[in-house]
Order: sequence, then C-alpha cells, then structure tokens
Amino acid sequence: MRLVFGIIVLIAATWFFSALLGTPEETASAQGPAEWVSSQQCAECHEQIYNEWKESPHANSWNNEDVRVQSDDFANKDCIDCHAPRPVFETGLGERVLPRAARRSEGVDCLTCHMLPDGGMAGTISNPRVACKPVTRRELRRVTLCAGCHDQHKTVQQWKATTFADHRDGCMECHMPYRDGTPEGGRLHTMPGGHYIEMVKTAVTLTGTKDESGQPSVTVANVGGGHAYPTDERSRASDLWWRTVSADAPVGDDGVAESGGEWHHLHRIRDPYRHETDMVSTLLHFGESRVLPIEDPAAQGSPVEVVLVYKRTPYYRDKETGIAQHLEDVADPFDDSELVHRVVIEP
Amino acid sequence: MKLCALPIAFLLGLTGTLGSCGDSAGSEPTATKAGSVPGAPSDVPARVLEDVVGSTLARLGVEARVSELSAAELRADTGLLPDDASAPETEDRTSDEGSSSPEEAVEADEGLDPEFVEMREGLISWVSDSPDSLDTAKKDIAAVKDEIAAVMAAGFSVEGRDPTGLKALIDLSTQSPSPDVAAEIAAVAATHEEDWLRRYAAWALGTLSATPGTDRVVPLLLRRLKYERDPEALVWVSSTLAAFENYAGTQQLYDTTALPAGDPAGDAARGQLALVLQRAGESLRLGETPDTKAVLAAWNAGRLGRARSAASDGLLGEVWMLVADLSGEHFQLRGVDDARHALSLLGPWAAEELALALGDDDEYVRLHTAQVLERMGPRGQTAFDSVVASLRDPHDAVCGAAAEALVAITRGTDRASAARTALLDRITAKCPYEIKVACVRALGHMQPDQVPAEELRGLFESTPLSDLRLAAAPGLLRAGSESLVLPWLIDELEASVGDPAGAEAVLGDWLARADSEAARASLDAWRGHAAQNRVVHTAAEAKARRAARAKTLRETLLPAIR
Repeated sequence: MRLVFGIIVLIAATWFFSALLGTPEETASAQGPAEWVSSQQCAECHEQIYNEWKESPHANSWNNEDVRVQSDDFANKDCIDCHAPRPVFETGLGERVLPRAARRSEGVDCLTCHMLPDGGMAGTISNPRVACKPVTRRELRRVTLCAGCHDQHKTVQQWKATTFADHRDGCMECHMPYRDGTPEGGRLHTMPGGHYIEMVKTAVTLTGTKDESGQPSVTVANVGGGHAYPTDERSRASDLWWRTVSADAPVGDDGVAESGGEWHHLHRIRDPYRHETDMVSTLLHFGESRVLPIEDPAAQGSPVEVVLVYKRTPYYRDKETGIAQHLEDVADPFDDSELVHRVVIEP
Repeated sequence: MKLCALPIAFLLGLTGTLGSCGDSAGSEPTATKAGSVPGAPSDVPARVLEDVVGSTLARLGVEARVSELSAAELRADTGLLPDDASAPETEDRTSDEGSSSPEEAVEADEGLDPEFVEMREGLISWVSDSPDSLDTAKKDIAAVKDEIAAVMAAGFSVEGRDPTGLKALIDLSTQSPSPDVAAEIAAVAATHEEDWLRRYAAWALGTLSATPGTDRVVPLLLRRLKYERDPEALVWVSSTLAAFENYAGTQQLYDTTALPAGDPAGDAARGQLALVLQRAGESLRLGETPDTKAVLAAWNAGRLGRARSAASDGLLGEVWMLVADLSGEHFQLRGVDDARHALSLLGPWAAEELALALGDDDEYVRLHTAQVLERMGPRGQTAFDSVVASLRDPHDAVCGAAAEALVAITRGTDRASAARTALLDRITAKCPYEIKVACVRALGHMQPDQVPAEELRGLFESTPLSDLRLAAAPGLLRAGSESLVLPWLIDELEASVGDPAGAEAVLGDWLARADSEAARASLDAWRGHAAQNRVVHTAAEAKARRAARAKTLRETLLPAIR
C-alpha cells in the first residue's frame, strides 16, 4: 500500500514539474547552452536587440579608433575597466567596474548588464521557459547599473543635481527609451547618447541677440541634458564659432551659410584632462544659460552667423595639415565636428 | 515515512537539477571572499584576506582619509534610485594635501606659545622687507629650533600669506627642521601657483633630507613628477628625491639637460644630475661616478635606494594612505591613478609593504596593488611570493593583474623561470577561462628566452578562440613561431567576429621589432596605410585600413616566412 502511494506521488510530482517546465519542445528549447560566455549567444533569440546593440557605441567600446588612440591601444589599463567590464551584477551595483581579461573585443556587452553572479540572467520579466531563464531584477532600470562606468567622470553626480533626478527620470528615460513608445515594445538597445547628434541637439539651445549698441551675443543653455553638457569623457567638447555673412547667403547642405567671412572661435565648453592643469572646467550644467558677447568690432554692422559644434575629441584634426594644436589655427570648425545649432544675428 | 520521503527526495533532486541547470550557465564559480579558491588544486589554501590597510594605518596611528567621492554613496543607492530620488545630498567631501579650511588656518596657532608666534611673524616680516637680514634671522631661529619647530610648521597654515612671506617662512623654518615642517614645505612645492616658489620649496626640501622623519614628503614629490610642468621645478623635485635616495626623477633630470646652456632649467639640471649620479655611485660603491643609464638600470633593477628599515613611520603612514586610495571607496580612477603612480615610483623597499596589501579584503586594493607592482618591474621583486599567491586570488580580475605583475617584477631576474612555472601551473585543467587568458597573455609578454614556446604553441594549435590565440601570439612571435602565428593574425585583421584591432596591435608591434628583411619591407607598407597627420580613422576607414594591411602582408610577408 505504501509502495503504491509512493508511486502515485512520484507520478503526480512528475506531472507537476512537466507542467511547470512546459511541453517537451519548450523544455528542449529552454535548455540553452551549457554556459553564457558571449553576447553572440544572445543573438539567436534576441536578434533585434542584438543588432541594435551591435550598432551601438557600447559594442564598439573596445574597437573604437578614438579610444584606441587615446588609450595607446589600451596600454593605459585604466581604460579597460569600462571598455571591457566584468558583469555589473558581479562587481556590485554602484561599485566601480572591474576589467575583463577575455572577450574584450565585445566591449560593453550583453553579459555586462544582464549576467548575474550565479551565471543566470537578469531581465525585466522572469521566464523559466526560455533558454536564458531570466529572473526579474528591477535594478536593471536604475542609475546604479550605469554608474559603475558612467560616474567615472561624474555624470551621475551631475544628474543628481537636476530636476530629472527629482522627477525620478534616470538614465533609461532618455538613453533607453521604449522602442515603440510602449513597455510592450521593449527598450531600445542602441542607447543613444553623445554619439548621436540628434540627441545632442535636444540637450542645448542656442539663441542670438544684440544690445542697443549693436553688439551681438549668443546664449547657450542646457535645457534638456539630464547632466552637464557635454558629459562623460573629458575628450568631449563643444565649441562656439562665429563669422560675418551676407544677408542673403544661402544655407548649404552642411547647415551653414555657403559663404562668409573667416571663422572665429568664441567659446569652448569642456572639462579638461587631469594634466591640463592650466584649464578650468567650462561644462554647461543642466539649467545653466551662458551669455557670450561677441566683442569683436567686426561683428557689428553685418549679419553674424554663430554655430555650436560638438566634438568627441578636444583637438581639431585637419586632414590636410594634421592636428591644429591651437584653436586660432583651426581653418574649418566642421572638419572634425558636428553641427548642433546655428543662429544668425541680424545687424 | 520512508515512502513519503521518496517523492520528496525526488522533488529535491529535480529541484537540484533545475538549479544546476541555471547554475551551469555561469562560466565560472562565483568568487568568494574566503574559503576555497575556485579552480585551484585542493592543496592550495585560500589566501586569508583581512583589512590590511585599516589595521596597518591604525598601527601607524594614521587616520585614513575619507573617501573623496561617491562609491559609498553609490553603494547605498542614496539618491540614485527611482524610489529614493528625494534622499538628501550627502556632504561634498574633498581631500587634498596641503589644504586647510579658513577655520583651521585661524586656529593654526592656537595652543602654541604666543611669544614664539610673535617671533615667527616678526622675523618673516623683517626678512620680507629686508632680505639682507635673512642670515641674522636664521640664527635667531636656530638658537631656539627645538622650541619653535611646531610654531614654524603652523605658520604655513596662516591664511593670506603672500609668496614673499612664504619664501621667508621656508627659509626660516629650515633652521628648525622637523617632519611637520618638511610636510608643509612639500605642500608648497606641490600646490603653489607661483612656479618660482614651487622651485624654491622643492630645493629647500632637499636641505632637510638628513633630518629623521622628513622622508614622509617623498610620496608627495613623486606625485609631483606626474603633474609638474615647470622644467626647473621638476629639476629640484627630482634632485630632492635623490637626496632621499629615490631616483625616480633621474630620467626627467637627464631629459632637462637637453635644454641649452643659459637656460636656467637646463643649467640647474646639468649641475644636479652630476650630483645625483655621484650620490648613486657612492650608494652602489662603484668607486667612480656612473652614467645616467647605469644609474637608471640599477634603480629599475632594485639595486638602489634605502632599505625598508630606514623608512620612517611617517613615510610608512603616507605609503599606506596611498594604498588606502586604491580602494573601492575612491570611485574616480584619476585619484586611484595618482596613488598608483606615486607607489610605483617608490624604492624597492616598498615592495614589502605592497606584498601585505595584496592580502587586503578589498579587491580593488589588491587589483591596483598588483598593477603598482607591475609598473615597478624588478624593483618590486621582493613581493614575488605574494604575487604568486595572488594568482589564486578569490577574484578573477586580481588573478589577471597578478599574472602580469609576476612577469614584470621578474623580468631579467633569476626568478623569471619560477614565474613561468607558476603561470603554467595556474592554467592547468580547472582554470577559469578569464584567468587562463590573463595568464597566457602574461606568458606571452615574457622575454624571448623565457617564453614557454612549446606550451603556447600547443595551446595556440588546440584552440579556436581568438582570446587565447591573441594572448599567446606575442610570445610565439618572439619565440620564432612566425609561420604558425602570422597567417592567423593576418586573417584576424579582417575577421567579422574576433578582435581585429587587437590583432593589428600585435602585428604592428612585432613588425616594429622584427629584424628580417621581409618584415622591414612590410613595415614600410604597413605604416603607409596608417592614418596620416594623426587623423583618427572612422570605423569604415579603419576596416579598410586593416583590409589593406592584410593584403599587403599576404603579398610581402607570408611568402618570405613560408
């Protein structure tokens, strides 16, 4: 009798776990690989997300040419920590990330954000029926997930001082928006930021005016960046240039007047490298408006075109003559930068 | 009961199976703070980790600096989480050497003998107004040097003192030398905005080098080597370091001698370099003055510099403060790197302290300490045993850093083969992949006569994984396995999955060093494809560059090596 009872319980238990695990087909597909060792494994099920990530700066963080030049091919080992980090959940949320020794060419990969210390995967919804069996971790949408790398240059500190933090809008709200505007569509894994000029344009405004004496001035304001403008790497800079133009000068494909006078540098917005001890930080913090008069007499009496450009290196690299070490030597502000905003101040 | 236990056991077993299914997804066991070492043979005990930094600082009577930035705050999630965005801001804390708040400055002389304070200020004023009176004023200070030492040191914290007054204070306080006076003068040498005053302060410190305890300024001067831009100030910093038997600034001193005659910095450098070389020759008991190259070789090999027993408690305290700066509490790496820089330029005696730091319970301290030792090279060789133990550190990242440190500290020493053995032992069967790649990369960086060519060759041929092949490639190339490695590296330049940039770096480095005719010819073509005028290629341009380089090497190099 006891034996029969035991067998019944065994069968019931088997049925229970079969139901729990799903159909045999589902069970087979849920096996997944023996271990998660590469982001390429994620592509099989998450093709769209993988392709978005693959095109993102995160995926390119190890191979990016600027990074390789500035880090001396990663001879500066500090750069490895954030450009090929170990999983954030392993190191600890809010902790400074630690470097990987392997798979560095995958850069900041799927495993960096999703891999848990036990080898499992963090997701927004637990699902034991799929290969990676994600478990819900709400920390995925928290600022601390990004902070391990992105507070290296105090971006998170800057965010904390903004109304974005007051309104509990973290990194995700701007840099990982819902793909189709709804939670069902999932979040965009291209993670647009400073490498996407359209996003940069939403961070700042540029307006021009002139006073009673006819002296023009521009105001650049950080109205949409949830942190300083620019932020993160100290290599990033934003410059204001001005020149005189004729009233009827047409605008070319590059977004500025097709002809005009010589460009003059007006102002640089940037946080200096640590060795640039003679420079001060001119970062434009959220909510800050900076009025910059154009005091050159040549700017009076004719229309003045002012441009705000965004740069990912502090240097202007003229393809003909090499790097211009001094801003006054720059012949073309657009040779190594992208146009953010333009304004023309009428006389 | 027994029958009931059967399905329960079944359930438990099944649950365990499910659990292991999930667990097996992890590439390696989770690192633990203590206990068994993942991947280590059973007879290798786990390193006992403890709060080495904290306990050492306490023993030295030094209060650890408060974390400058946000790690603790981040860990606590204060203000960073959507659920906690309204949490109050924590106080912005900063720390920097030589700084003092106005309140501290006002209180600087509190508790000190007012007669001596008055004497100090009177003499400073007198010397500032009448420089000719300096000698007389010095004698006045020297006559009461023991009683007035604390008052002189406190004088540096008085707010609003102009550069002339500071110079007078430096002149006078050197007559009552003490570790505190030295520390205050070092702060002037490190932070004052006037170049001439930093030069003067750096020079003055050299005159105090014989006073016991003044060696505590050495770490601050070493940090200054990184940031000083005034060539003459750099000369005096380097020269003063040598007075403390630290030769880290000798190269910069030598470089400054290239300035023409008549240039104050060049003239000072030539004079000071001669003295530094002479002092080094006496330390090495050479009987003659060595040249710069010989001194640098002796310094880098760990044959120059004071013994650990000569280091004052003040210096040890400063060193351990720097080790504390390596911790996870210091979030921004720029501060960490300042500490790493200064530590890595200390004399060979410091390796004994760093060996202790490798046992700290903070993995950031251990990781960065290993990196310090790597930078020290053979100067850090006395930490050999601890570095070998760190190959089995509970944290993979520390193991990797230890592997590279091990190769660096034994380079050119008679312990190189022992290092090779330790690394080869580590990459046997159960070694986690991360550590295996790190150890192979370290083996690949060994000198040609130490590269374990046979083992690396076997590994290279048996794995399809780019990581391991790329890690082994530099060593194999130097060991003469070009025909095995070069074809793969060239293909890797164009690989869609792999590490083309890494392959390019290895190939570029090998071409620059190789001495064959084919390699030299290929190097010219290789460089011809490089970005011109230091313009950085776009991603598409970089891909095209690598393709062009691959094509060139297939045409020019491969036929020659086959």
